[in-house]
Amino acid sequence: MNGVPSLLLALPPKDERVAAFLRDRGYRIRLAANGADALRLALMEPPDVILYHEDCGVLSTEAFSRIVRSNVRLAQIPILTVGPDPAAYSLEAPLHPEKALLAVEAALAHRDGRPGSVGAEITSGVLGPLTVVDLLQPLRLQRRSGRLILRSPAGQGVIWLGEGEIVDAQLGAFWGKKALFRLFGCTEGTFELHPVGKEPARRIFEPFDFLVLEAARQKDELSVLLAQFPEGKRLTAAVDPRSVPAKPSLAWLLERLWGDALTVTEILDSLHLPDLDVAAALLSALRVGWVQVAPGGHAETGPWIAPEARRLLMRRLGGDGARVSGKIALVSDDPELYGRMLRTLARNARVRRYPRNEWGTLGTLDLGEGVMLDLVALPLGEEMAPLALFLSRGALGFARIGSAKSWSWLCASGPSVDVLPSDPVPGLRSLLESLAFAP
Amino acid sequence: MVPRLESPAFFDAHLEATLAQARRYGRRVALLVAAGGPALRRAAPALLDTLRGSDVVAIEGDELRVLLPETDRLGALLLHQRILRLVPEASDLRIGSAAFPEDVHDAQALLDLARRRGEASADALGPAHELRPLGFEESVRRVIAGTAYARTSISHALLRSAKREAILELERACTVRGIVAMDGGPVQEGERLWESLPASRLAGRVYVAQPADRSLPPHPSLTHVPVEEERFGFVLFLSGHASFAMLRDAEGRGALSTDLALVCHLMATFREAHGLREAIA
Repeated sequence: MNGVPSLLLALPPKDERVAAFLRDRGYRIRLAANGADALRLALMEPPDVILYHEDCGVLSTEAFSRIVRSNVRLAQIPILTVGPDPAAYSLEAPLHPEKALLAVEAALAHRDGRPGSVGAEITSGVLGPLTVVDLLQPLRLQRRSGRLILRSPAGQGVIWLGEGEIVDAQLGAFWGKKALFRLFGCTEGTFELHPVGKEPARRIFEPFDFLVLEAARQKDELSVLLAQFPEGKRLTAAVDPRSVPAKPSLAWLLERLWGDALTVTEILDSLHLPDLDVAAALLSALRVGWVQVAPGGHAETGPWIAPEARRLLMRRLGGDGARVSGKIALVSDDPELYGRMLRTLARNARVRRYPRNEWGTLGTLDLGEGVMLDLVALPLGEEMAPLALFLSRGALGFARIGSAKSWSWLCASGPSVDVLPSDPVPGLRSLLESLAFAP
Repeated sequence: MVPRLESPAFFDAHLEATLAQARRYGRRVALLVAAGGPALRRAAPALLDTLRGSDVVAIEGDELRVLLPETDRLGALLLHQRILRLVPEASDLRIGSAAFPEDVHDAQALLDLARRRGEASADALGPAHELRPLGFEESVRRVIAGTAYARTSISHALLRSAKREAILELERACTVRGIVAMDGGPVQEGERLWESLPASRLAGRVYVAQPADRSLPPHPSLTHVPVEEERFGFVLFLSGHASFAMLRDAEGRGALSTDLALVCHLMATFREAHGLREAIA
């Protein structure tokens, strides 16, 4: 198969959302108005797969299939039929987009000569009796391509195989080996094993067996290393990263912790190196004194807002029930103060910080009961005014950090408070209270 | 399908009833008003063709009102843009819209706000008005080269940060949905951008225009729009409460704007250029 697979769909209007769904998944879609139109389009440019609905009009499924099979150019094209009787059609109406996608992928895999029981058919189930490595072994042994989708408490992840070798993995924001080693450690959740749709660019080059052994080794060694860190403490850099000669991974770690205080888990999550490499670098830095336990790490761990005020805020924000989110705009005449305030706030267990950002979303306050408030810093400068205006739209209020005279034009549009960069918690609490009880 | 044409009295009663239902069951309703005397009579037949079968229409004097059930402010804005592009006579009309629950909560306030917005848009024909006959790429070129919008040099990193914020804005949106359209950018910038992609489904859709051989991370809210060549860097954000555009040419010159008319025009022409007319929610 070369390039993007092309699909010809003949669907009634009520099922046309399936076309959008398949297009979103990377397929080139041509939509026929009815059976006759589908024949015309197929003859103009033979597709890789035809999805034909009994109710698309003009031609029945049987008549359409007979005509296609009698044409030399079209005879080999897989036709997936959709109709009310699951015994007589490939897919049952009403058509479900996910089922259509799986059927298309299976048809393409079969057409490309990847026959067999695994890969051409979808296998799904629950992790537990089988490990992730067990699930990949059939593809490995038959040197076939496929992808394993895992939904576990660690998040949703994917492992891609190409001709029996692992070529890439993804887990949340992580890609490559870091994601793979974490996915290998999953013991709970569900899985789906099915043929590859679009193979990603290769990020993992080591042989399958090496990766399996390496993941096991890293898991064992990581648990030994993690036990050596002070439990529940936040760590911070004790030296300026520019003043010490360090290898790149350690320099990156020190930069990450310079002026910041994070738990070991947050540190592992914030770097894209495999967890064992990060933990080993962190432990050696802790031993030589380049990293230390953050002073006052538990100074502010209380709730941000009283329960009744939180409920009022939830009602004001609306949302889907599971998660309610909003934002507070941070303004200052000195952009350096954004970072300083966030570093102080990061000592609070209910704050998540995104230290790589200089402006925009710098952190999130977890108010409890699923209420999250992002702290969005506005960029300074006249030419950035449209961007600042965009970022401030929908903000519940403004937090003025230090002097904020240049933002008076914007702060008048909503409630605002003064916040001390060295002690931001009282100011933010007062803003939250005023937002909750505002008329 | 043609919309239901009703008498003004029935329309008013139906609007009240639809709003009451929307309040009770947490649904959305939008109202679009087009006014313009003789221009309305010329534009009305073609304008009706742009509506859906579920919409309800009434004409009273020189004002046409359209009740858009299950439609939010963004949907009404997109319809407004579609009318302007498909009905040339509509450029002489005063068209405005308002939505429940994003804007106001009762029928008269909805009607008043839609009228006020129509008057305001007619009084302030901004620079985007002149772009209306142009396609997406030519419009972007004109905006960057012109003087009507704030111009500045834009780095790849600045553009990437703006894209990240546009995506996070969709993640935060609880009660309004939006659309983001952007280019994929240089490969390394793209990879850094996807690092901050929220795992959850967003309140809207993100269209990413990039060559067909480049991949996107698997995500339920991302749509890959295959293009032959990335001539411009851009991010467009449009929702019921905010609009934003950041445009960049190959030399790093760029423009920024929050002009709703400009963003609506660029978003509409981008979607038309790539056949993206499907539902966006």
